[in-house]
Amino acid sequence: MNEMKSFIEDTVGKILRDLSTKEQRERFEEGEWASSLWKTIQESGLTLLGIAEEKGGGGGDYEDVFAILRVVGKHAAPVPLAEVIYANQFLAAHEGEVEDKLRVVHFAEESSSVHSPYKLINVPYGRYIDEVIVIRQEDHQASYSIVNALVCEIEKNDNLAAEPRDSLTFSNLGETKKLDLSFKEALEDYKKFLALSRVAMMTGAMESVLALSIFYSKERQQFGRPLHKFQAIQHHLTAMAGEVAAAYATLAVASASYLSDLEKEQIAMAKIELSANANVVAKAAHQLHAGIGMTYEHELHHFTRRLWAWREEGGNETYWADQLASLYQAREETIWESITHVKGEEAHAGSTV
Amino acid sequence: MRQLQLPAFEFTEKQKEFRKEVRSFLQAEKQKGTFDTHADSWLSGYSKEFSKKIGAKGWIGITFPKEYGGQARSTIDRYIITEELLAFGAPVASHWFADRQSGPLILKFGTEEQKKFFIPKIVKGECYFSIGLSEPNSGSDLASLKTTAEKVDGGWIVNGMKTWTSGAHHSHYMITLCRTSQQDPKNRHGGMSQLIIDLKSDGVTIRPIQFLTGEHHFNEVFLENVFVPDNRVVGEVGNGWAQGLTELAFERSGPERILSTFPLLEEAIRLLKEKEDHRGLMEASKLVSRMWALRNMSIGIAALLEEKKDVNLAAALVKDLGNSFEQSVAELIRLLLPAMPSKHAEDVYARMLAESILHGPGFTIRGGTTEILRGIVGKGVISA
Repeated sequence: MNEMKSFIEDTVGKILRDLSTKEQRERFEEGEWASSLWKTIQESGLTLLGIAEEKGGGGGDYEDVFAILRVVGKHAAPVPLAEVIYANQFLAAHEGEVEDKLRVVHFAEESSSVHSPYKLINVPYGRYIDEVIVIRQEDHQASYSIVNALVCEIEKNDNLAAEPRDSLTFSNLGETKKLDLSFKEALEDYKKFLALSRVAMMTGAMESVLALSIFYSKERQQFGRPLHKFQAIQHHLTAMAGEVAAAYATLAVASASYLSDLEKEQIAMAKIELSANANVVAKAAHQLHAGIGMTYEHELHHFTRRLWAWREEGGNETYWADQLASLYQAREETIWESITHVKGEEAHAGSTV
Repeated sequence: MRQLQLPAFEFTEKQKEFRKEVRSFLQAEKQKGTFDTHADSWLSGYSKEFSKKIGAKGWIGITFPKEYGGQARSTIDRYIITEELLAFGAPVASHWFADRQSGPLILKFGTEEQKKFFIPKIVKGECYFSIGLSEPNSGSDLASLKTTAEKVDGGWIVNGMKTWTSGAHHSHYMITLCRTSQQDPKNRHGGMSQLIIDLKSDGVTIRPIQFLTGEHHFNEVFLENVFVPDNRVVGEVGNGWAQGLTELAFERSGPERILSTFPLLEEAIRLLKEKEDHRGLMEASKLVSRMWALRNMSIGIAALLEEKKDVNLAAALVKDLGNSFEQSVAELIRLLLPAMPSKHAEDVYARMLAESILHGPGFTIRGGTTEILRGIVGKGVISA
């Protein structure tokens, strides 16, 4: 790990440890926006990460972005940092300069968003954002409009972790600008970013689930012994530790591939992995915590509910397996050649020639 | 938890070239008919001729020092060779343990005479080792072993019995863990030593234990008044347990804990592509994703081992997860491509499916059972 990355991780870790507390998350679920947390995040330049300084950004690269999102997941911070970073980068790329606002992008895939009044479904943090960048298909090209979220009619909805996924209705799109991409290309770009963001955040959440489980298994006594003395409990801890280690390695490799030729395949595999194993970790932790883990009072659910929510976002296993299957079908390469990034000379390893 | 954080490792261009070289060689050998691809070839594929060919390329003991015939190359180069051999399902069982464990052990703890005597032969693919650990009453509880070595003039007299000894009927030597002093209940891991037993010695009897397929990989090795000269003790008398543990991270985190059934997966995906079975490819892609993730872990560990870092916890996890993955391949694939699996099938797919199913129970037992590994990790994360 490079020093810069670990410095940023530590700094963000400190901020979130102080500000993304259990009490803060509970107040958030009761309907109070985490304003001081968000303000600190903005002031630290995190929302403009990955954007060049001359465009008003804070510098840094994508490995930093995903490293920070892991920490965001680790502290279950109730903020749409991944979504805002993407929206800001989108504006920096297409408008030149960015003013730091609470904004997200939304791809108008739903039929309700074709004609006025436009209704956008599942907009992250819709009730709290300043604006939404609506990306729509016009002819074969993608276009975008910046819509003031404060004038939209809001219908509240949320995901399994009580993170807002609201519907926004409005009648005027305002100025529409064309993109140099097809709608499909633009959407795929976002899907990849969102998927890798969730991989990073789930890695962090898994880490906290393991830490809570270790703590509880030392603290809780039954039959005159701490829980961790029981083999059945050790097996639960191992199941979690294995997935945490696998998640770290997955995140490290996939985020290093971001923006390279390998990104699509690696992000697909990474998201399949994390989504598939989210419940391995959540299930073992709940079994280990037993009754107390089912209560609202204990904070385990702040992490396990996020794991269950995030495994669906940015494409679940089915979505990415569909992409991989098409990729395999379209190319001559064997799996071994694609995994090792080395092509054999004639026939292939493992083939029956 | 820092111990679980594994780095991303990227192979250099030179390393990729080397992989290509190994792959081209294997491809050519396979086309010549030197070997057929089998699942789980590292435990069951014996071929002296093939081991000698690999040795002639310099690919056995590639990390060993040049003065003993090695190439002094990196553990990453060894990793590449190992992966390619397994992906091809090549017959590597003869020299496997000598390359992976016995050679490194002798180099680390052995005498100069032992290094000069054994290492050049190992490197040529002419000298095979077995590992003498388990006993009839000491399986997972290895420290309870009963085989004794009693000091006599000029050496040791060994009495006891080893079991599940892979390849003893092909091997020249067995590195035997035995008790050289009485068991001390306060220090269960003390008083044991590692002796190199020449399997042609008087008093050594090797009897096959048939595997559930009827094949012969495992053996019982009876040791009756076997004389072992002083110069065949490895390292310090009484330090055998600790010496044996040092190489465990290599053993547990290597590609052989992930790739035993990979040839079946590759063949299945080839068939699914031929049938344009999109749904089937979708399911298979989940296995590929798992393999990729575990491989990333395993390579991350190899990179840390190269830097001499402690990776025992993560290594035990690779074995646990990797072995489960190896078993899961056949269980999913059989549903995607129904066939009658048979060891004798002419169809390669049906044969490898049979091999993968029938060898499956061994994956999670050999080299430390899943239960023992989970105990190690469970205790490790608590004290980390």
